[in-house]
Amino acid sequence: MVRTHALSKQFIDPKRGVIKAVEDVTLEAHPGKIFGLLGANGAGKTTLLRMLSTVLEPTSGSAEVAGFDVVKQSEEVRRSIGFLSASTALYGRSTAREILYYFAGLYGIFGGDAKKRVDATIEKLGITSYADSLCDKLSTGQKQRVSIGRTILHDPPVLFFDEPTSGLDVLVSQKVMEFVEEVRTQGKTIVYCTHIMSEAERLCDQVAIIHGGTVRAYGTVSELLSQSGESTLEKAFLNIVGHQENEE
Amino acid sequence: MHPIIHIYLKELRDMFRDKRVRANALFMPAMIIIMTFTLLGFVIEAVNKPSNQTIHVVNGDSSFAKALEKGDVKIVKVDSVEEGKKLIEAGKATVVLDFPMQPPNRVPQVKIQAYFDPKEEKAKVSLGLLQKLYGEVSKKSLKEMLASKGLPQEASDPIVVVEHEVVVGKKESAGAFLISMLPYLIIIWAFFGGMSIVSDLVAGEKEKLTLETLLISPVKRSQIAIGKFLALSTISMSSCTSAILGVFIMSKLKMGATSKLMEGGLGFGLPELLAVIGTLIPLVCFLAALMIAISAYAKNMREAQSHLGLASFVVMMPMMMTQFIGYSDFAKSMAINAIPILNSASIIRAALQGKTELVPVLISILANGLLAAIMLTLATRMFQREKILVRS
Repeated sequence: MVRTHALSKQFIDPKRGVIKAVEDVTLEAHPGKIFGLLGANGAGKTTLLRMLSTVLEPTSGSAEVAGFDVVKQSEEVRRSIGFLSASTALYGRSTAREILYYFAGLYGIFGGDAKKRVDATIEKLGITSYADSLCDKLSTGQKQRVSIGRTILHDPPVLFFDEPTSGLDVLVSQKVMEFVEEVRTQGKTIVYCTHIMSEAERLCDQVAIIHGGTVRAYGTVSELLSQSGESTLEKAFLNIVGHQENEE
Repeated sequence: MHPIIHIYLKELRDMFRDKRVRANALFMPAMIIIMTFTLLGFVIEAVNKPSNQTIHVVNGDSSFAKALEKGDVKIVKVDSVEEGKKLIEAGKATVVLDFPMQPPNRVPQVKIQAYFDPKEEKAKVSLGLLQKLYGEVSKKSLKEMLASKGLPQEASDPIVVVEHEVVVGKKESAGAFLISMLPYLIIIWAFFGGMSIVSDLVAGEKEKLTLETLLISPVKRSQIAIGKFLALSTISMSSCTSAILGVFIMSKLKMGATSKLMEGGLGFGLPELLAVIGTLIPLVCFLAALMIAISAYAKNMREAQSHLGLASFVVMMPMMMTQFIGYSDFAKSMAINAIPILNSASIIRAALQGKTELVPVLISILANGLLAAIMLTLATRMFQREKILVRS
């Protein structure tokens, strides 16, 4: 489970002063469900995910991931999560197999257990034919599969996806979404950041629309549609964000 | 396996797969030493060889000119001093000698006029050779004259400085030229050995966002920093070792003119080697930690490379000074052992002179080790600061 309460993050920029990247975000994501974070670029989605994955420390508020506090129990949180983003590269001079072993080791998995998990992951994701190729030589789709392998190797109960299909072609995007759907059935808690409404409509059980660092709307897709009176999530998003921007 | 070792081994494997590392950090140091000294040996030999000197002479038929020819010097006759000067101006002559017409035994002192461009190094080399050559002729004729008058030949040298070598440390010692150059050529690799890869190590990972995947693993940030630091230190130390290996290869190969540079041996034995490596390790650690801190501070690889370029100038200054420390008493003072870079150079100098002593080595290890610890603490603290690590 992922739970935040009034979570905020401020940055101090020498030129622009205090920047409120995330402000008072309160939300809950449950096991076996996909929680969508919808927002335009710069809305605060990535900052929120970085706080949840303990890369950034919140300025105020609190957050729990898999029952662990992100500030006080950061190491336990990191042990419980997997993080996938399309923009994250792989180590070009390592092979796919070496990367999987490396990340297994970072999670304290060594020896026979590591071999079992790496072999299983390679087989499950269909990496076998290029498992021993250097990542520099792999196609974008192949790299993304290796990244998925790295994300799930330690079998974390919570998975964060930060625009995982960004820059990928339709076929690879489809595979990524199928993977997200599959892990949902395994009872994992999933937080899925995207600005692509069709993805959110297809995948998300619950959605929070985030804009300017704050949550502007929160509920299931159908609840958001009825709240906004629109027929599609895209129109609902524009209605909610645009409407509130006009109010401001 | 401890996370630090796990990260260290992965970084090391990736580095060794990088052609830049294999070429610049492992192969080049040894090659540069061998090539530099082989080339210098040839140049020194060529410059000092009389047969490679061409002297232009006026009155080329005089006995002085013949004495030159006997000394293997090439002679080109010119008609007048004016013509010789024109050749110097045109860069076609180095030294023009104007010999007197009188035979040497009729006057008490013979003056040979030498014309040259003082800005030309080659002219000075030629003049030195001429001074030596005519000095010998002059001494020989003086001795003959003294003997003909029944006087002792020793009167030609009324005051003689008799040299008595006092052997300090080992008898074997590298030549003065090697002693001034080698410490510099070994120490520079403590910085430049790792420089080719360090921007990739942290700033590059920031840029490609792979660092973030490390940050969300259960491994502590300090462990990530130390793992990377150890890998970089290993590469830098390998570079220094490659340079030292180059010195040994050069001393064993004794190719042509290089052997002249090593007439007195190398001065290096196992204890000296251990002393040198002992002081180099903490120096390498200090510089590796400095480079990791710079790479962690930079937003991307380009910025890291530009910061490292600036840092290299700061590091280069004391490194360049190492070539000249032997000309001052500072080289013998204990204080030098507390100054990083200079202390390692001083230890390498002493090793090449066969004069390694324990106390300076220990002070150097302590001083470099302390600095390395401080710099590593700073670098690991930078890994704790999200403002630095997550900025892009």
